[in-house]
Amino acid sequence: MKKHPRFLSLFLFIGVFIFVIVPFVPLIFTSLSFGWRWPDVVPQAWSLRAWEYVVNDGRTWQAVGISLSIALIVTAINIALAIPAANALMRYPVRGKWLFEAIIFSPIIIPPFISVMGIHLTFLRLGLTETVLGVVLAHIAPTLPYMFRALMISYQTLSTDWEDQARMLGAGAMPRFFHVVLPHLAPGIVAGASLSVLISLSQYLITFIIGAGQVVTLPILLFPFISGGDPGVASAYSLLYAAIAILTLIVMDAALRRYYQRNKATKEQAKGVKP
Amino acid sequence: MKIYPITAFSIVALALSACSSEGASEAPNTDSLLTDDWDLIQEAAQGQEVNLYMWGGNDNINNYLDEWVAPRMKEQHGIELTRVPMNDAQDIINQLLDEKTAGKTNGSMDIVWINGENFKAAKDNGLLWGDFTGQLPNFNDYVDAEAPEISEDFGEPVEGLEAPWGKAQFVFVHDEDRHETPPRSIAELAGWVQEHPGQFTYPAPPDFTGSAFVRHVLYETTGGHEQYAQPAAEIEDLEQRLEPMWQYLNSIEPYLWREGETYPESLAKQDQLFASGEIGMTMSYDPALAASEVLKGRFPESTRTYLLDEGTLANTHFLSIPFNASDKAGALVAINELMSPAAQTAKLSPENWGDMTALDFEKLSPEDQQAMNEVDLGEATLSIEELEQNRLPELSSDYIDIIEKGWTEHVAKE
Amino acid sequence: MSDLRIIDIQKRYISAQAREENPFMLHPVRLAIREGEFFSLLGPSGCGKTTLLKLVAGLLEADGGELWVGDENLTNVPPESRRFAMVFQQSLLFPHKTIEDNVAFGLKMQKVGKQQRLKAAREMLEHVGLSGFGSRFPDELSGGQQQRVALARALVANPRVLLMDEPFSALDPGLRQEMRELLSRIQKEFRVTVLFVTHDRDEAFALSDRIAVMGEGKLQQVGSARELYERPETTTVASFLGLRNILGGVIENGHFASSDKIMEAAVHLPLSDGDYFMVIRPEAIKASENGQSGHARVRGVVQEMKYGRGIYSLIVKVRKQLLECVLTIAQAEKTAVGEPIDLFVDMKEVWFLKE
Repeated sequence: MKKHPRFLSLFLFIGVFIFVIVPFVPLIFTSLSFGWRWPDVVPQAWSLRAWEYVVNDGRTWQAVGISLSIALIVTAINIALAIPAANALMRYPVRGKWLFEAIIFSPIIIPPFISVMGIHLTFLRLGLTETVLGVVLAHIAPTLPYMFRALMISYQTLSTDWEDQARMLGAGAMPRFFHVVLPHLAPGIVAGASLSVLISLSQYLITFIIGAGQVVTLPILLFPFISGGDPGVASAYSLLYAAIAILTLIVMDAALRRYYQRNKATKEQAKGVKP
Repeated sequence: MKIYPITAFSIVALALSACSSEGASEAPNTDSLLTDDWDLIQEAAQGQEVNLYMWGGNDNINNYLDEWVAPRMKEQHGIELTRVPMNDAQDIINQLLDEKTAGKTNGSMDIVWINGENFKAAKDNGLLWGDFTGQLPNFNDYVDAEAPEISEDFGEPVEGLEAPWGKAQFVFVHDEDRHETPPRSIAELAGWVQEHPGQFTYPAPPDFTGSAFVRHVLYETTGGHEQYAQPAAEIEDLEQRLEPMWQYLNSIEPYLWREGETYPESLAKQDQLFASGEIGMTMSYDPALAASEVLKGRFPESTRTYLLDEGTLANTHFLSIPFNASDKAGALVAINELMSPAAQTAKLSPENWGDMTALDFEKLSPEDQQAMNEVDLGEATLSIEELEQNRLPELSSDYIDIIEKGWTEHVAKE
Repeated sequence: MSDLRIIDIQKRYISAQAREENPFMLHPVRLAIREGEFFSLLGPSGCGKTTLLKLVAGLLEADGGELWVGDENLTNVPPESRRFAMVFQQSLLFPHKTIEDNVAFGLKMQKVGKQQRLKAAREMLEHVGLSGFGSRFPDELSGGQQQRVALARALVANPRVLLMDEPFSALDPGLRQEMRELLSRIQKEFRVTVLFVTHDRDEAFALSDRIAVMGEGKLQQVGSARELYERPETTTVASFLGLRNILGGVIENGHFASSDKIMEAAVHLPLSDGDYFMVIRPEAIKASENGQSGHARVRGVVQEMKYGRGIYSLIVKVRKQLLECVLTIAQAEKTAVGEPIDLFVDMKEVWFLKE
């Protein structure tokens, strides 16, 4: 019986390897190869040209910074918007609830560029184009639904009894939120935030139209190379993009763990002190 | 809990109002720049930040602008030149159209890189600033303004709205080691594909290069380009005249890559097929692109380019200034500098870009001529002389529309 | 004196069209609960007892009436400021906090210093028999232990009133008994006023000083367990308290005759003539053969016999009426299911209701 889980984990490992690691291999080869032609399985000659271009271009790092800041601001706004919205929709008998949900979820179903075309003129008149703020606002449409969905599920499993209980122990609105609601929502928030960050990071069209070239994120640099047919540079950018996305997810996951471990740690300490 | 949405809303509203006030400021009237002295313009340009919106998908071109042009611009003219990467020049036009509708007067685009259809669309919609080329010393000194490839852009009169930056010419690309004698005419090509089935294809129009290939077929199978100088609407039997072209394209289809069932959707895809050796020929509207691909190791060393005996299509690409550019003086100086013999010579070099000069070689000083001649274009690139002597004029865009739509109907669907 | 006074508190249904004829979820209630009293609200589910409890807690907003503790009007005070505590059916311990932190939560909300509140929490845990569990997390405790923690957490901040909403109904019967004893002991120790909601008669009887029986959104009767059991005021109260021997009939000249003619007897109470219900507690029916004065005789057939804790409880069919009675083992051994039996009702022990 003991062999079974080991076999299973090996199987899982192979699965992860095939579906997660293998797709990166051609990207790595392409970004590092010099004249990698069929039928060579592995490039015959190597070159750092693509990486040199990507790494040495000051815009790359500027774009990384802008991409990440936009993603994080968007996510913060999403959290601030989605918590009260999910709370209201899940907890109170709102009339026409389905309509609210339909509006909030519509950006998932309607291609974002259609709505962006619409808001572009408005943003132009408001002077929001070519600004980070404008891009941030435009990114909210395609990302908010995911944050909202994650929080709705979290709220579904949070009975109001918990808050009533805290209330009866003398907790006002803010302490109730921080001691009862937030800890319960935390995993949902991290799940929603991961999606929100990833989706924001991957926006090209919206950033391009609203940012109008003045807000240069990583996809803005990357896309011309994909369409322009320079697979070397495109691969290098893609890998950099993937690395940043993965790193962000790891950092957020670690933050959640730390959040939960802070409590566990005090517990361990207390256990150690006890005679 | 109920206070949160209100707070969030008011923060957003506040931020919105803060930004909108910034956008409302009026741009100064800059039309006097079209008549001012060059010295005055240069003075006004000092310290301006000029944004150059252009396609950003080639590291060589990007590097040429970022590392060769921009530092010189800063040093010699005090201009901060920023290249803004775009995916497609069409996006520039859409952007400007929206800005025009919204009445945005202080646009960020100071220089745009366009030609052909995009120029026509921009001109028709009044998106360009004005007749400025006469102000540029380098245009006046080195450009033959009367030459058809300078005075017209795909059949559309330029009227000083855009300044020539470089020239491109269609070339066929092949691997010398695999096919020693490539077909040098459209007629020869028909025989060649039968001898080498699966070795040839072209990007499906409306891909820019694929569409250009089809125009070569048009010229050769329907009796030359001269008949298409007039507007398409004035030719009554146009459909009949185009018929031999569709017949030709359909006749070679069974011998194409994948038996013509699909076509590469872009030149990038086709180049990849050539790079991986799946097909024996590709094509390019950039005569130096093959050489630069060899330098990058993507194309084999034995890659060569060649022209058809009848000649190949050539066009000119231009730099223009949008109607709402914020730094027009800087834009003028920057465009003038990009047209300088030094910048054009550097641009010619394949390490930088390999783009042919827009200047009239005869008008250059002997030293400048020599400098240009000394540029090593790479083995894959033909000499400037050979290219110059085999140019065919481009069709105006009304024809291109008809051909691209017709191709889907007559070739792709059949 | 800090009595809890409920003055005409009421609650209506949110949607008016649902029950036009009866718009009340809870009809106006008037109650005074003495300081230190253990007071239960007893009734079947849907009778409004939990609604009343939540109105007192402030978790539901009343549509009218006032709530006072001593001379303080709490009607418009939010629940978190009423200094009440509440234990729910589920323990509702905060899963991400340790047991100690859970218990200390109320004190933390009152801004009591960390050392002090943890000390108080540990002491309270000792009271509920959980000393040493302080650094564990809720999911490491059994259901009964969790409910003890909930009790400790409710009591630690010294509440004016402890509200309990069926706190033991989710536990096993044995554990329930244990918890009742613990609660009873602690309530006396802390002299805390308790308002306890339950649908379990035995639980209410075992714990309460006074009980309010509720039904159909109304207070039916308030009194001690014995008062309610021996002198119920309505058939609803009687039947909810398990009194099933209810005979409709007429009293004429001090003489009761049941409408189904199964029994007739003289009435010992000074009652005027009219229609009445006679309520006979099972203990008031005997099987003794020696005719005793003041006893009414009925004849029936034994339909069911059940043994329980040293006595037998019988269901006897008298014509169409079923009577429940308890017999000693000796008496029960003389009869069997299907046998005829003579029963004597002690008329001094019966209770008459007029409706």
